[in-house]
Amino acid sequence: MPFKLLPRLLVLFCLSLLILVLGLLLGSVNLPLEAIVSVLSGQGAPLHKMLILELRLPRVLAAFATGGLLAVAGALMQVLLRNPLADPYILGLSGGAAVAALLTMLAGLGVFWVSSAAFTGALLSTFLVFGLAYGSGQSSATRLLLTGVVVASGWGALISFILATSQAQQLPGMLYWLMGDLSHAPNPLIPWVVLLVVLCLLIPLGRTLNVLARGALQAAALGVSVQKVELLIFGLAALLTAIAVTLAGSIGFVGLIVPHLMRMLFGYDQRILLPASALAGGSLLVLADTLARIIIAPQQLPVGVITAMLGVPVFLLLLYRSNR
Amino acid sequence: MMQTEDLIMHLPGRPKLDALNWQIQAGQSWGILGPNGSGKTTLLLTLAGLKAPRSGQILLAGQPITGYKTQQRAQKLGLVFQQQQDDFPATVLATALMGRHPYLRSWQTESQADISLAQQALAQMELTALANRSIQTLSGGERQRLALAVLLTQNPDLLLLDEPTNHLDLHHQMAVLELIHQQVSKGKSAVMALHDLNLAARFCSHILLLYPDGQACWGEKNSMLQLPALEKLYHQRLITTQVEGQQLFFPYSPLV
Repeated sequence: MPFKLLPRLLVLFCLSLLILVLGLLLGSVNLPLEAIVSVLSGQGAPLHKMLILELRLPRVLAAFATGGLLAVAGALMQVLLRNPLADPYILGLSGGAAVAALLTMLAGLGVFWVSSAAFTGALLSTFLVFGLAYGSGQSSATRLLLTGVVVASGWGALISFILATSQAQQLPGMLYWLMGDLSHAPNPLIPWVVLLVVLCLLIPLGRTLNVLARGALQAAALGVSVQKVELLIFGLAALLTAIAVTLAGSIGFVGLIVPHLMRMLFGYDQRILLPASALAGGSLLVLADTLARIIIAPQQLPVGVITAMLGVPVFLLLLYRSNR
Repeated sequence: MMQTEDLIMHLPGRPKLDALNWQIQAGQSWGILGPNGSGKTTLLLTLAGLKAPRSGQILLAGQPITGYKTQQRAQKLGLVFQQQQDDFPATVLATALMGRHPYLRSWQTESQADISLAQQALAQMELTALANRSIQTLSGGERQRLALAVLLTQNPDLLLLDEPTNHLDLHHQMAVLELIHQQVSKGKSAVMALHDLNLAARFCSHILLLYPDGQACWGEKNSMLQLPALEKLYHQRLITTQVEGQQLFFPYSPLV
């Protein structure tokens, strides 16, 4: 069944490569295409080498991984909660990460500590929500959703509190983190490995996820071990989101919109939807980050602002056309 | 096919429930009758192994149902729910194909044989023309027929159906019940919760009555469909008549 969509997925793959190359070429200094070819073949001017290999390549790869992680996590959350409005942050993950990250910024600690705190905060929030929702034994998608939303608004209050009480010179850094910013992204190797491994794990599970979207009872009647599968996708979505948040703060919009866009283009089958979401989420973020770097160059905008500005009109257009 | 041993279902707030020692044989079609809230749906969920009973156990093909893996269980029994959930716009054909899920390994994709089974089921439910439509665009009756098509694709030995005629027009009510009857005559079994006494009288071989006070009795159709028992069951006066050899029941409501 899903195979007839493979050519379309291939087109998306090529498009993603193209966008990656574009992200390497464009910036405060634009490079010609030959620069990449010569740098990759080991030659090229030292300036080009530094610009491409040390500055732009890690940044572009980090952007792609972040977008891919968020989009896949969003698609998983939508299945887990049987709610097309779910996004990776809906269960309060980003809030936990943000509070921890802002506290380290408040204490004046460095980038490494901010990232580590974000990761820890995200996982902590995950366990909190999970414990509260499943602890009583009885659980349902609605209960999980409610717990997550309430915990998220608790984090929101703490974030406002920290912002209100922090000093003026610390505010821009905090706001950039909250809006999502890739300029301090650490090495993207681990995120890439995690994204690829999780995708390889999820694609064989895709048919099960399709059945699960029909409801927990219906899925159980069709032979799905619902609790095991739900636990697995909850854990994976949390891990993906925590890593994305660690890379770039809380970038909104990608995790909600990309799975929807992909459903419009590829249909509903998770076996195609998940890899397509990873590609499109990654591409969207590379594109947005490239724009964030060049719009008011040499200054940089937080990438989260651009993802929304790009995504909103595209999404509305597709929604409008699909309803006709 | 299925046997219950001292089964008491888990109905919160209902301390007094009869224990069921009930046998469902191949070739039997059971109708579960009872007023709203008497536990018909809970009984079906319990039989399907989706809800743990308060006490007692259920044997499916001689083995405790709790010992089955979910996937194996889904090959033996299938359940059509009263309502279907469709938060995501899968196509009708893709949804019917989900009936093959219990038979596929996780890395397998649906084969051409699976697809033609699903298409056959859609044809039997007169849904072929809608195969590529999104399930979110279907009417209530079409959704109900799709749920039955999923069951046909799943092809279990024991068919559990929670109000299978819900939302269906008269023609499709007959079509669906005749199809279930046909499956049963091939050696399968069916257990269905019904509200329509006349459909139960026409299509069931056996009846189980669930009284609101927790009492239960079961047996062959003719011994169970007696006016005093049914009037007590529904707390409603009934009248009955015979037309062309079929027993018909009506609620009695005096003309004013």
